[in-house]
Amino acid sequence: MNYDLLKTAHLTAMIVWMAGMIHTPVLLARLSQGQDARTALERRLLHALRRQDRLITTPALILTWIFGMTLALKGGWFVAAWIWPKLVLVLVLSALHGFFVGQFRQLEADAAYRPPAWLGYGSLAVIVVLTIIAGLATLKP
Amino acid sequence: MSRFAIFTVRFIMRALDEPIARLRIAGVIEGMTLLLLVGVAMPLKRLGGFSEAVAMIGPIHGVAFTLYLVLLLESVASGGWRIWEVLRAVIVSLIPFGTFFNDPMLKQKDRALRGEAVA
Repeated sequence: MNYDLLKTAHLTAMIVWMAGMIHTPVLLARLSQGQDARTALERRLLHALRRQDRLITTPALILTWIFGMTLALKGGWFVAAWIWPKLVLVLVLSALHGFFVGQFRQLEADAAYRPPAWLGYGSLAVIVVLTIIAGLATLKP
Repeated sequence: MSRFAIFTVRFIMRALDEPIARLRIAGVIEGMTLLLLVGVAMPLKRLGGFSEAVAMIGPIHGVAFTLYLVLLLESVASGGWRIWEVLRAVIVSLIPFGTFFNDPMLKQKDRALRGEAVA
């Protein structure tokens, strides 16, 4: 595949993945508030979030990695110093996605389970990491 | 044909539902590309001087191996893993046939995480 086409595919997949990564923690944190039993609306929200993660965010994560690795191989970027911190940061985001999935699993299994309150800052963390990744990829220091 | 389509859709949906299920698929692909590399491409290069096979399969295996490790990390971060299980999953990815031998353990973990009866 052409390098520019690969780059377009990589960027598109990454944007879709990040869309899910930014709004998921905000909504999950909302579920953690209050000590009452989960309402029907919250259960529906949880179901919709999990469905969106399964059908959109997760495939986008996988495609981001496949296109990204192919791009790096084609462009010979593995000799560049900036690619390694970028890879570490994308690994951090991938692990964070796994953590969100673990939260979905626990929320669905246990009606009394509340996600940790710090999850409300998850979106901010994703945006900070994403900004550094974008900087590394465009400035190539 | 329709049965096959239904099976495929269910298989993909199940894999997208749990990180460990997609890790199993990545493990099979990683195992197959490693076998192709070690069992076909490298002998072709060493014995027949045909280096194009390694140049072709090498990067494919590289991407498959990376994806396997990424999905392992994602699965570990989602919870339910013991340290020796993580080490085992990493080590088997370096050995031909390794991920195939590890698959029954992953299948059992997948079922346990979904709350299904484990055989």
